[in-house]
Amino acid sequence: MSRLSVCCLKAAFVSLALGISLGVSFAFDRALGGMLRPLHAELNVWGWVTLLIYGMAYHMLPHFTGRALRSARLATAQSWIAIGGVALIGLGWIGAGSHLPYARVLLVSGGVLQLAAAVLFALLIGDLLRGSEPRR
Amino acid sequence: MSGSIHAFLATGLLALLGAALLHLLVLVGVGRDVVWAAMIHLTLFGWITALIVAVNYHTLPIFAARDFPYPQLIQAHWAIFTGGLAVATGSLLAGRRPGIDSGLALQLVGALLFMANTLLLFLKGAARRQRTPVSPIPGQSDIDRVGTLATKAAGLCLPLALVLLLAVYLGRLGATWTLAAEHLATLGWVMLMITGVAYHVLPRFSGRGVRGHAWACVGLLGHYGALALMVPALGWGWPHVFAAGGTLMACALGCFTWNVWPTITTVRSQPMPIQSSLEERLP
Repeated sequence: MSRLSVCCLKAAFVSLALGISLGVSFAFDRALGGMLRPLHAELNVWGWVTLLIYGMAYHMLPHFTGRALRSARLATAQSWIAIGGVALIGLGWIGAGSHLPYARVLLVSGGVLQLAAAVLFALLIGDLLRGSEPRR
Repeated sequence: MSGSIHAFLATGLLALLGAALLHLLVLVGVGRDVVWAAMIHLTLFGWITALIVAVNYHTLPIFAARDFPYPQLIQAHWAIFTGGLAVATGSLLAGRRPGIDSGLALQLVGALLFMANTLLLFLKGAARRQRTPVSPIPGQSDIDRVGTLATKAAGLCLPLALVLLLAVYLGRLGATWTLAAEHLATLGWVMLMITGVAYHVLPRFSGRGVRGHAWACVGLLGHYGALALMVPALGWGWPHVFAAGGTLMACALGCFTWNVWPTITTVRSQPMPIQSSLEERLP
């Protein structure tokens, strides 16, 4: 696998470890669960699964379509933007749980990064799909 | 790739864009509960599910060395899946209960069609002249069998999760079952499918085997047990059972991560030739 895919996969597994640990801790501390449930969802859905799909897609879809990604640099940037988005939102939810100022700024910044990463991913993969002839 | 797989990937990308936009709205603080529910639905049952289905429809015929007997059923699956997703997500945002019910029912039909297509591939699919690729990695065939068990269980979890959600919206089950259904979807459908696909493809992509068959078996058994504890515990509100299930799930996922870690730490110095198809890549 390429360094890009491995990087996404490692970040995904870190998110999984954090997300699952948090989920288990909720079972023992329900107040914590009430406060940090959005962080648990963020780490599992946008951290673990989405980063894993990004990493695997960059490896698998060029082979499926028989075409290279238009820009490997853009794909690398997209992955780092996505990872940065998860990190900022994670910090934002921790800040919001602790009633810290600027938590909302972190959350919104992270959300903008996540959206930017989604748009870049859609453009890169959409380009792959447009250029490959679907067979019947 | 077939046109249907293109279509699933396109739906998945559109769902990703929609989900990311809804995610941003949640983070800004707009209509939090309503938008949150729609975002989770579009992410789990749209973006993630579409990508999983597309990868399955592409790779299953390769590993089974068979062709799908009824490609029209895959097209029907795509149409019903996409329609159901649009109706359910739109209705969740608009707060229209009949639309949510109809959308979920369509998605359930789509999930059953996915099961039917998979079964028909093995029961009625024409065998390919090129046989199933055999991996030179020692013990990989045993790991493949564990992976297949995981994907079979995952295929069952998707319709079950949708049945639970539908029952909640139809008033047959309490609201606590929404969380149970979401956990069945994430830890059952998504996580078991990831486990199964990872055991098949990661050793082949990296050229390195996983740590061992025993880790895979223990992890999968733990995963099944944890799901059996966690889902009813969330639905009926049994915190101690949920704690036991959650701890078991953490151990099971720990086994999985430990087992596949050698395959994801392998970076190839030279990228594989991009024109080679997956079939050619498989030894």
